[in-house]
Amino acid sequence: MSRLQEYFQRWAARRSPRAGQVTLQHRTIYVFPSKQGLAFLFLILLIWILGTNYQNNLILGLSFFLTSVMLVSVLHAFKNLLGLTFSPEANQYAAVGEMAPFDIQISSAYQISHHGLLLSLDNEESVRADLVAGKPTQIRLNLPAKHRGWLKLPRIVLKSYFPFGLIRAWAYIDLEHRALIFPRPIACEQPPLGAGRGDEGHHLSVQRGDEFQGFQNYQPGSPLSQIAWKQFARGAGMHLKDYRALQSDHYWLDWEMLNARDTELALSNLSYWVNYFADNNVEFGLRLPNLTIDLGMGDVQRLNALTALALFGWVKEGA
Amino acid sequence: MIFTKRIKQDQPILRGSLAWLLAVQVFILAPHFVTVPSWIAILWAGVAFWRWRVFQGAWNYPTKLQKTFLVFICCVGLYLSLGAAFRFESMISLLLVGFVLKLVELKNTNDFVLLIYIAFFILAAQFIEFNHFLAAFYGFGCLSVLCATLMQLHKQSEAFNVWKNIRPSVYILLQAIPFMIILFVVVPRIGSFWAVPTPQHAKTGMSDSMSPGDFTELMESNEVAFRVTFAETVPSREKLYWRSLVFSFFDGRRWGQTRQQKKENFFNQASKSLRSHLEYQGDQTEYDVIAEANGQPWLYSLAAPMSWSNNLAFVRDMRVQAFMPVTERINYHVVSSLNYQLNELDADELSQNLQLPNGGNLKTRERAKEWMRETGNTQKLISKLFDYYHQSFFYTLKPPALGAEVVDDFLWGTRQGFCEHFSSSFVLFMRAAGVPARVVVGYQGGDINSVDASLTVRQRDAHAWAEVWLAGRGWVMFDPTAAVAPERVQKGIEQSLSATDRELLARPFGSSSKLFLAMREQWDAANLKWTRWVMNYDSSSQESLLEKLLGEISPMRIAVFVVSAGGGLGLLLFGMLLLQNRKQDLPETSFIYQQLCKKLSACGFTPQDSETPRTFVNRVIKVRPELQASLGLLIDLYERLAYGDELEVAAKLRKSIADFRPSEKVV
Repeated sequence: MSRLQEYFQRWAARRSPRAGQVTLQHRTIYVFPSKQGLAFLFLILLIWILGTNYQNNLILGLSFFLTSVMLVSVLHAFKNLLGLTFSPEANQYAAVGEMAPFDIQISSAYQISHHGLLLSLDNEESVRADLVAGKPTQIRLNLPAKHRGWLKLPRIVLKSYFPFGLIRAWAYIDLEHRALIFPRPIACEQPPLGAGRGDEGHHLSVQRGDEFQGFQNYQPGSPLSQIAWKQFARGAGMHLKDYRALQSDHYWLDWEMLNARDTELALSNLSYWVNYFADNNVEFGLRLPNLTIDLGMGDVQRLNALTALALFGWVKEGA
Repeated sequence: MIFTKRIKQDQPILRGSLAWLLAVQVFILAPHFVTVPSWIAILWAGVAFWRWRVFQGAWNYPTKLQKTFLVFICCVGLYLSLGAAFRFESMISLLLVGFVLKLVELKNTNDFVLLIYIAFFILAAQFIEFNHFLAAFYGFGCLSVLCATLMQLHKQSEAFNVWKNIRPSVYILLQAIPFMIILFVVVPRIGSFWAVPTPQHAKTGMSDSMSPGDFTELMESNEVAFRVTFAETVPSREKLYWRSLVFSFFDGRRWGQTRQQKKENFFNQASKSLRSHLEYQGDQTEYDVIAEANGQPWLYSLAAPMSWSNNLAFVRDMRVQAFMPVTERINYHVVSSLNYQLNELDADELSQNLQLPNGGNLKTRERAKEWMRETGNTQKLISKLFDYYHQSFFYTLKPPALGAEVVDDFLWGTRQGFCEHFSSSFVLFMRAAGVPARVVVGYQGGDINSVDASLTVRQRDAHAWAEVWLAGRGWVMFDPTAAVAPERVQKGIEQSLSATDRELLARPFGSSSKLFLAMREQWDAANLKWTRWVMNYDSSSQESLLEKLLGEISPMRIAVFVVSAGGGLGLLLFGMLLLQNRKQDLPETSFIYQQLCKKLSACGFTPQDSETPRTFVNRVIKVRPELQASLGLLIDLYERLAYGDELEVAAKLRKSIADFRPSEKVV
């Protein structure tokens, strides 16, 4: 059985190759009775036996009718998937240990409704989508991010039990779609600060403790990024982190300043501090052995820096 | 827009689905309350209420103890109302109770689907009781609701619109009908696997004996006894004496079969020896009978059967019967020769038909001998008796009560009665005069349906008449009732009675207006068709139909037929579904512009490739200035819809393009 399944999977994979956009056609849709459908066949058998025992044509007719309904629902199950087009939306991001989201747009070549579309990635829970009158809809599939770098969207299994749950229609969708996975942020005691363009960077690193002004009481209307969430979570009440002194400066996060024996840990530490500086609106730059991200601030800078960290040592895209 | 509804294995039941399920149960259970005790309805209401409260979060699912208690109560209830015997009613009741109780356990989608599947089975079981074509329609309705309920699980529901929710299922069911017909025609019918309990109803019909008053009950019933379709013309009414049973034994009050007659009932042996001295003398008629279940083996035929279908036995008494009591509707085919002669009667049979009770009815016996002496001849004796009937008897369904000497009281006393009195007294009189005679019971006449020329015979057409053995002529039929009330035989029982008597007869539709009668005839004809072609479609009719369809029955041909018909239908359906799928790829404006071009090309204008709609129309206006107003308006609207996106002008544009008729203005 498993060999047969393997063979089927290989065969199915050849029929639906990976593509930037997938439209379901007759050759890529499979139909087979579902478990419920097999139970239904058993029910039909019982009704047929009842009809035969009572020599009652109306009961026999009912069993034939149910058989025909099952036959016809094969066509409807097939039609429910036919003409569906799947295209990837913009790439999303996640850190290792989080769920990586993949946004996919589903549209239909026809102006009919497609019901009960269940999309799942290997053994994950399925996500349900319904297309009303052919109007496109978006769904988000989640996959646990285990390693940094590009995470390719694995093959999606699309299932539908429409109309009566008797027939399972399914298709494999191999979509060119990926998410960028950042290293998991791991805190370390001190930011690996390297020298700036002058010498002052070094001094700064020594003086850093003094620069941090400490906490202020929370005042309504303060920017959310200044709230000391960690303290809040510990039950210490709402406080604001005061970086007035720091905001006037800039820092260089430097690979060289970390223990380079454990590359992943180093990247994780850098990633923590990138987030830290970006959260606090501090101007910072990042120096990696092969790449330097110039000074910048905010979410754009964070994205650039984290992307560089995620793809550090990443040889080939899509490898 | 982002949609992330997670699907779990054990999906809880949604409000809509639960409501649908409860509605389904009402429809599925309703017809069964003819059979099952009515407290199950109260049980259902209680359980449904409980489940609804569980859904609302007010109550809990029953505990194990509560469930055991419920089941126990139901078992006790079933035992008390139905007893312990394994009967049809108890079987159905058990199934229904299980179906109802399962509701309170309904927790997830799997339970839900299981309940729906049980509902399918219960739907099938209702056809055991009801197999009228109305039952088929009702079943279709139930099926639509059941399928819609199943579809609820896989489709977003159209809130608050019941029809919109059912419609997709109805379409699928309608599409399934042609496939069902193929299966119905082709799938072989086989006999029962094991004996099953059948619903037991008091069946009306001829009983195996006739004592005074028996027939009144029959005549008050309007139930159909059987239906007949003749192959050619319907014989005249006076000839339609449908024989059920022949009684040769009289005990002074009750007519019944002799031991010999009873013995023969279950064998088919008599036919060969009998047929050797039975002479058919023409006036053949061929007919199909669909007999309702009467719980007895005897059936209905015209004398004398020449050939009959193989589910029948021919009995010496010149009648046919089934091998087993008829518990379900049965159909059979008979060819009868209305003129026949039996040439020989053995001594045993002769003495049976001369049998007289040990005492009683002395006056009749005396008179019989006296009259025989007077007339000296059987023929003359019979006419004298018939004259006597004709002159001094009165036909009524409400005769005065008779004393112990039934025949004496009737013949020489009350002189009022109906067929059973007349036939009984006549036969006793004949026997007393030394002439072999016997009573025949069955039905006389019937209602001829002008729609399909079928004959419907009801219980109220029950009749009793007599046969006398005349040497050289065999058994000859005499109907003493006809001597008193000839209309009974010529026009039917209703016409033969006085107005007060008529009240006694059961009448189905009170009114006898022409429209009503016509509708009733249509109705009966449809009923008969349903019974003949659907309910009674069995292996033999299957064989003949397939032979007609395929020329010859072989597995190969049947397979080819099924594959080609089924495949063809499937492809057709699939094509239709795909066509319906086609996207409307032209926007409405282009469609309208095409219409405009078509209308203009009819008067000789065709748009050039380089022309915009505006330049094209302007060119037309130059040649045909009289179109200025209408065309100008049209092109304005067109441009407003196409480029201005003013959707509200669409209706105006549609109207003006429809009204635009350029060619009419050409003189």
